[in-house]
Amino acid sequence: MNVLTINNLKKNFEGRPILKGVSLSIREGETVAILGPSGSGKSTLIRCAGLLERMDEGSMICLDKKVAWMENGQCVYAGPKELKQVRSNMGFVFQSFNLFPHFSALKNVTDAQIHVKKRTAKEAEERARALLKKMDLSHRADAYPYQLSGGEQQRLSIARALAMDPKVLFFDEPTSALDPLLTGSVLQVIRTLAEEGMTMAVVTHEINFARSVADRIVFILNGVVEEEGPASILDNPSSPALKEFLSGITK
Amino acid sequence: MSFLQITSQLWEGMATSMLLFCLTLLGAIPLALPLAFGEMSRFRPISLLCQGYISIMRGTPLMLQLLVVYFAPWYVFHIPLTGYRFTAVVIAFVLNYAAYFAEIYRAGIESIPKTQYEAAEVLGYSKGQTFFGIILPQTVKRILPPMTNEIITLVKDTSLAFAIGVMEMFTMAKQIAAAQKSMVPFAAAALFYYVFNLIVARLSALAEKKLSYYR
Repeated sequence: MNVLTINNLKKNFEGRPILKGVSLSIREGETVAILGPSGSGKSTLIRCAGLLERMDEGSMICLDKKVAWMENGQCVYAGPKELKQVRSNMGFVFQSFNLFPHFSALKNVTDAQIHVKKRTAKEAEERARALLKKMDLSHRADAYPYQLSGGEQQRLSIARALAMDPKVLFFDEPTSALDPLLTGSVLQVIRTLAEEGMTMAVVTHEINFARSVADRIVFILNGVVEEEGPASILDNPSSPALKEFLSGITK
Repeated sequence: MSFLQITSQLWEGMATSMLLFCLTLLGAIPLALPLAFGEMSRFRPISLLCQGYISIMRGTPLMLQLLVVYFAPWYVFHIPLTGYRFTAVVIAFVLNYAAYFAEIYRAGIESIPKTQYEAAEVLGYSKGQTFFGIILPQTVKRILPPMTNEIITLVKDTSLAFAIGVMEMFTMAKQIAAAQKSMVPFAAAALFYYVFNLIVARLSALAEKKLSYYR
């Protein structure tokens, strides 16, 4: 079953085409890695999937619910209530973490549970502490985001997203703001989630990580999907574009 | 007359000044919030209206606004108002200071990165929850220094109430000085403003310290 299906997505920014008809499907339990050079449109794709950007054209279905569709040549989105429902199935992890600086680590994970999911403070805290433990952040529960390292901040933001029990988790370059020493712990967390069967789409520059964790690779260049397939396409790319991209990275 | 005698004579005026100060803050601090929202509104007529209001309140002297608020009911509408002096001062001060505060709020709110709204959005917070739970607390921290500036100016501006004959502290000081041909009342007045502002600055520093638990 597909958790998310996007068809023929087109998106312009100030008249400049960023995505020129991209389709993306994510099956339940699958980890999809979205690769591509800077400016290829991969971040825009994941932001459209996570409902942070609106598509100019295209259709989108999330867990059998129609999110957006074409009507008389126009892309129409579902109403606010339906979108709220769809959004509650999605989690999003940003490149720059976007933690709430005025909340402690613990409160970053409990607050939305209490105010959005309407859990009791006790339930929320139990869930949060379990997630902090899983992210190896138990000892940092009372720290504020500025007191955490980049890797800790990103793991905290993953805990914050997981606390809302999303059916699909989107990552927009989760390690690009981290120095190489700190990326490991974040990638390890994503790897563990993949092993547990979490449905995920990850925009990343980490080729080795994509190769070892992703069930499927989507390679985007200049707003179109140039090549798509199992992780093995990274070892045997068939398109010249992916070949060139990979050789540029390994050099 | 000794310094102490003069100070005790000024006491009633000080109470008036402090009352004006407190009532102005009590009115202007909340009133500035809808004004700031109005300014940022995407509905053009509302934002133009609020921008125009702020532009006029900042662009004309407070003393002139004071006179307008005091005299307009009688001169323009022929409504006789007795005992209206102090109320008129408070209204004019609130209207004027709300404009300045609104600009500070707007700048503060706009300085919070858009990514904070995005993070709140993907977690499913409503617009109200996002503003009051995520944006406003961070805004308060950022606007504290410019607000302190304005509040210190307000302490000194209370002396403008003399323009319509409200017996605030400085009005009395001038009268005593004239009667006694003495500089002492002015010294007492200066001391009053200075100590008042010292307290304001101290409170602000305390608040900043209290909010320094995060960055």
